[in-house]
Amino acid sequence: MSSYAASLGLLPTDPAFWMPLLLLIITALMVLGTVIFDGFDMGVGLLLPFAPAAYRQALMTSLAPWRSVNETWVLLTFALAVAAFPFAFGSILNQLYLPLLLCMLGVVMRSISFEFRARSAVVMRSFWLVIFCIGAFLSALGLGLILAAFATGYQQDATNIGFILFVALCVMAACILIGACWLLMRWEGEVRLLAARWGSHAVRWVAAGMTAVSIMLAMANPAILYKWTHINNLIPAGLLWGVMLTCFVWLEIYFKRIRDKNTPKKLWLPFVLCVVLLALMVMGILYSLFPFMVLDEITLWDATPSELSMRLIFAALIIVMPVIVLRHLSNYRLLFSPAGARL
Amino acid sequence: MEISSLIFGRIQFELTVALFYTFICLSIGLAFLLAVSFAGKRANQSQLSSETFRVWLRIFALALFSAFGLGFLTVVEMCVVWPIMIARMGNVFGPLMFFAVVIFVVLKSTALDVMLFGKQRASFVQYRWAMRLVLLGLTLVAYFVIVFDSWTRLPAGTMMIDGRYRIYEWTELFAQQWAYIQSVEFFLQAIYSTAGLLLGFSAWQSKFRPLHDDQAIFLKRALIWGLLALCFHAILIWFLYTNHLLPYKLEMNNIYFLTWLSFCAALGLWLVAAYLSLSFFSGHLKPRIAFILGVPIGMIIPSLAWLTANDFRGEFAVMNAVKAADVITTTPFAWLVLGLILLLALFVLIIFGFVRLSAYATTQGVVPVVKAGVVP
Repeated sequence: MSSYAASLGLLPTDPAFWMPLLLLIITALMVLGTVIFDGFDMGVGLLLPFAPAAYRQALMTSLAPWRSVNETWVLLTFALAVAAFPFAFGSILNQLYLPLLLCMLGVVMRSISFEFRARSAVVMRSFWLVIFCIGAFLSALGLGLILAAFATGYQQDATNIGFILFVALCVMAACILIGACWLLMRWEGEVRLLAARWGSHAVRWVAAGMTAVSIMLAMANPAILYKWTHINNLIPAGLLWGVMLTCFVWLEIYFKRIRDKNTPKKLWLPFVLCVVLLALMVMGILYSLFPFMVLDEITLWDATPSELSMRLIFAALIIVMPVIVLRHLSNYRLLFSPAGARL
Repeated sequence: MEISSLIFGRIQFELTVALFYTFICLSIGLAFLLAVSFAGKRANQSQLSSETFRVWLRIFALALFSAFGLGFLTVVEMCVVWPIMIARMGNVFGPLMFFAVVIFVVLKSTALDVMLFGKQRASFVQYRWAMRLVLLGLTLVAYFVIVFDSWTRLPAGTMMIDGRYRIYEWTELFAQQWAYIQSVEFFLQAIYSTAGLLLGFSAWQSKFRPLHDDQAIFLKRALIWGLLALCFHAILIWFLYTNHLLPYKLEMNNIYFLTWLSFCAALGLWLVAAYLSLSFFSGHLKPRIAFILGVPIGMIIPSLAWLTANDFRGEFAVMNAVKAADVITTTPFAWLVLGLILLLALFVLIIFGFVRLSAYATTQGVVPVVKAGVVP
């Protein structure tokens, strides 16, 4: 850190140095929160068309206790990312027009359809359920396109189209995986068996997707390849891949056990394994990029606004964070409670 | 920059903001009317169980959820349609947008939840305060949006360094004279457009079942507030115009033709709103006409007001400093068209959902909210 600060002509204690770092850490945590909590929401939305018709409405309703906090993650994350790194976003948003618009249209569609469905007469509920599914599809598709654009260095030409579509499918699989893990915790009987089947299909796609994105990132950017293959980094990189592989295998075994009707005790474990996988993915991307926000173009410190603007953002964060954290904790404390618990 | 990209980009951005403006107006207007009628000094707990309160609380919730979705979309549109503008004015846009978002999130996590779901669990005093806090919070959210909008008309508290705006005095940025005036205008619009909506839906209800006494009293109160707001707004605009306080010139030429058209349409709707209100008080109100005219008054006046005020910028994104054509996205034209089509589909969906569910609540009664009680 001292060498980074010195290269910028700053001291590590200088707010102009540590404030961008802190903003990056908070943003990364919020991205992780969005991927996990909005992810299972999206996953359930993507799975609804495959669920037996008799369960669809109940499956959607079961999201209700977490829905109002789940939807705030994506809003807060996007707002913080744009407010904290406007100069990075300014340069890449041109390339992200369609992916971002699709993703956010999906988010809004899910939000509106969920609330409208909860307040509509029985005959209209199926209509809003369909809109929720479309919203989940658009969000996951947009998210996949954003990840693919990032991995290819925002080069969205015809040669990359196969890779882009593959990553989009894998991101949908990731949403399905976390959605299925959540359903395993919260449901019993037929739905649990179905969730195990969906999860075991999705886990292979997620593994393939994570590998493909890593390879593409390294191939498209020599600096990233160097970072991951440098002799000093081989042990941590090997550990990271080892942990990821273990998580994938563990998930696969777990799903198989449930499909064989040999239900294990710790039903929260697949969800936690998913969280570990997603956290490693976010950390990996962050490590690959650091200290850049746009690779080889804009560093973290070039991307942040002026010091006064950052102070204003921190002021808002300090005032509201306790309220938001308390609210989220009180809401998520029942996330791991056993199926059948009163919410 | 191709002119077609500029036009399509502007259309989708302005439509999104106009619709957001409408729903946030209706949310604030309803929050105000509910707070005045049910959280005032003379209000009592039994009123909270009345059907009038439940119906209008439901319509408030529907308007607010629509505003939430559209507000989010507005931030996204701001970024994807004007990416270069974000790069130039990120120092100003970032904090203001973030303030608006965090206030909304805090409100959603606290007072709003009490107001929408806590009627049975909170005491009357707590509930009354929750309603007041929701009104205050929503007004603050709108204020930060207005501050940014007014800054793009009269940039204050900032200076341009190396092609980027930087804040040098944030108190000057937050306390702009034009932002205050716009906020007052916004609040007045919120009240009379909501009164129009209220009149429309109440008239529609009277076609199916008669209004209760408390419903008629609530409607009368809303219409009196609406008429007062309408008159005050007209006086305010006249005062600003005659004292040359408007930050743009009212000129009749080709560029501003659409602006004038929407201005005249808004004026026409004002007159219709006044006519409908007076018909109601004289007992000559026709339900079908009132519904057909009243609901659009609520839904269209704020949009037209936004489009009118926004079009006065002409070719500028920031008045006399940054041209819209210089900061619009360079994304392929086909994508912009696709984006516009998708957005229009979403707008239709939101308006359909809002009008249908509101009409259902007024005519058939409030459907209990579907909740996950016991998870299987």
